[in-house]
Amino acid sequence: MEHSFARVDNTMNCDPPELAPSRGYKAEEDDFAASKRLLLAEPNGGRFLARCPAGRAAVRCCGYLVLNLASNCPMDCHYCFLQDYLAGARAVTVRSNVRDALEEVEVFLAAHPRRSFRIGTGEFADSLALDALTGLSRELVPFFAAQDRALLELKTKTVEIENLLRMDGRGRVVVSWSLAPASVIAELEHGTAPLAARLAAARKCQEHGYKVGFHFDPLIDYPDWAGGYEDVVARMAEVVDRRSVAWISMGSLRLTRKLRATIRSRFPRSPILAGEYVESPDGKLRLFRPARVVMYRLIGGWLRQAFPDTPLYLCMEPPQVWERVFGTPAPREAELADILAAR
Amino acid sequence: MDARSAIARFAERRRLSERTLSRWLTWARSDGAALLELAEELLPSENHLKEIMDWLEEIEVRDRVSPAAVLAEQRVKASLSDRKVGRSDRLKRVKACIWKRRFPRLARLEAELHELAAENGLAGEKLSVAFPPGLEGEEITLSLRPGSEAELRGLIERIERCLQGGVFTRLFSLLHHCGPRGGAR
Repeated sequence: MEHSFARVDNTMNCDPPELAPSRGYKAEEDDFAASKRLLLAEPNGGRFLARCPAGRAAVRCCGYLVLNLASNCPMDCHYCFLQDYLAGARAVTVRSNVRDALEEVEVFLAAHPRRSFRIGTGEFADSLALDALTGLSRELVPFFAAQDRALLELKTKTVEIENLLRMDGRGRVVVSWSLAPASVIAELEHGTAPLAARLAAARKCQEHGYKVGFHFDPLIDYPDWAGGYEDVVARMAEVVDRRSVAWISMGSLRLTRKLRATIRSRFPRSPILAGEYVESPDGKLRLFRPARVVMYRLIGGWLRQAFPDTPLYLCMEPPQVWERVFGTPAPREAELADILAAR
Repeated sequence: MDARSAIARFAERRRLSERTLSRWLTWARSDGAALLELAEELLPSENHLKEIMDWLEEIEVRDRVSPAAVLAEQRVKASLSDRKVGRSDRLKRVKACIWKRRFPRLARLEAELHELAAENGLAGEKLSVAFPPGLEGEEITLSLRPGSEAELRGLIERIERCLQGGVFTRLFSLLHHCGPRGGAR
């Protein structure tokens, strides 16, 4: 057990107060929801650093690396892939040997002396949801602040930024939020911070010298999606300082068939189930292509207008969709990775 | 016999899984009975039945229209009771009706593409255009089946006329992005 987990003995009940049941939420009768209320701290015997699992042959990848320091999450979004990927998990697990992870990053960077990387901790867990409890950011931020060729991305749907505000990321830490219309957050993202709170937290981070990022991912197709996302972009533009936005991404909802079955069982009345999804070449279900190109073009247009100097990219889409959306050929992985890592 | 017992007896006769039966029994009585009527008429496999149940439940979530109401729609009823075609074809037609209800924008866009192809002589035996499944792709497939060199020339001329007339421009435009208020909204 390392000192950063002083408040976590081994396992403990983790009952974040914001995890209140909302309409249609079956937390009490669901094993996966129960796993979200128990915190387990244990060392990782394997590797911490991996290529982002979103990078597959059929889709254009942004060269992202994930640093796996935790798995599972105290929040419970209808569409979350963890409910399938971590099915059977008994707890939210945080890795206690953080120093081993940082050593691995050092070795990796030394082995690639001519390249810069974006490294994120928000793939299998929310980067900040438990930060008040674990203090993980107090280890990560100083480490990455001292790196020349690595940007750390802390990806969250919370407003747990207190630790961050006491540190200086020296431009090497990007705090990013996943954004969705307020009604989508209320209905589908149980236990997460409301839209206004996320944007206010982003602004606060900017005021403390951090760059911020935003992910419109997953984009949810619902009857008034255009109005909903236009409102999100307008509110972003009002609150956020556009000069220190590192990147913005968009990605449509994607589901494996197994995940869809899990959603059906955990959230049987979820509007997510009624989307017009078809199978893509990578085997995932997505909103049928012409419809999602329309979504990307419209939302991307508003984002371009409000944040003209910020790189905007797509997550898990084939190059042909990039081309339809942006009107130019998709950048190669290394090119995109360099653009984003240089922010 | 009440609807629940009738469903249970049908499930036993058709050796449906416990899971499918339990799911069916959670439906409102009128919905369960409407599905039973369809199932007894068409004898779908369990996989077909589950797919129909998925679609009907999803339509209800999105459109607030009950399974019984969907199954009572004229198009479905007509496909179900059309005795001129065999049972498996009727099942296909009924499923197609429910699918269109479940995927209305995709169905509309596909119909628009097929209509445009048909209007321009691209949906015949000798010359036809096919679109990627679920419209998840960039390319169309053109099939030519000429029986002679003269016929081949004729088909190529028809393609040329379509190119000149902007038919392919419209087809590709629909396929690649159907516009902010088009079928994809």
